[in-house]
Amino acid sequence: MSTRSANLDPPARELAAEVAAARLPSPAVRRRIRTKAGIGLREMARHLDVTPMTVQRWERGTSTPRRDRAIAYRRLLDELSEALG
Amino acid sequence: MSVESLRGRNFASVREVAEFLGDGEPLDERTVRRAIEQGQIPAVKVGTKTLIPVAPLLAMIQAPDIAPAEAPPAPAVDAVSAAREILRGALRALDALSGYHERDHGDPSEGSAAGQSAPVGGLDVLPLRPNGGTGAA
Repeated sequence: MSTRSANLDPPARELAAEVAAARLPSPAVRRRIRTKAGIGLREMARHLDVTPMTVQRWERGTSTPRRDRAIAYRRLLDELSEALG
Repeated sequence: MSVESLRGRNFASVREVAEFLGDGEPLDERTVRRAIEQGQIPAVKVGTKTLIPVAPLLAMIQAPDIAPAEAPPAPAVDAVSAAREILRGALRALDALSGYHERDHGDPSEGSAAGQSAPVGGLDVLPLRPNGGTGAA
């Protein structure tokens, strides 16, 4: 029993880390970071390999990116907000 | 491209930074991109754009302004020029090193002229004589 839980621990930890990495700021903050950085919807969409409309939906909160995209989106937002200071 | 024109902005483009660091004689944009790749200039890539945060760039340029308290304050313009000169020298050295590398190892993406003109490798292909001499003795 204890051996089994020890075996399950690392994947569970990985999953928790992935979930944390995919956690996004609020839609309003997403939009604010992008506009403050002077980046258009099209450029953002190109970076994330989605359509500009999709990014707009994420910024309005009408849809949410799935995990892989969310991780990439979060990483980009983090980089931008760090660069913005 | 002056310090004042960048101040108050969040990001600058590669071209603007090349103009800024060149101070009248713009650096090659590839020099700036190479410096970014090597981590000498911070940048964020978004899609096809490369955004260079202005604040760290100005901090790099204006670092010589931070002088010890007892030292007489240097004129800001001279300090900026000096810092710019240092950075420009470093970037040119980087360019020169890169050119050396491309000459010696032939970078096909950079054209073939540089690779052909370098007589490098000639000695490497000379056959070795068993006696180590010319064979005349």
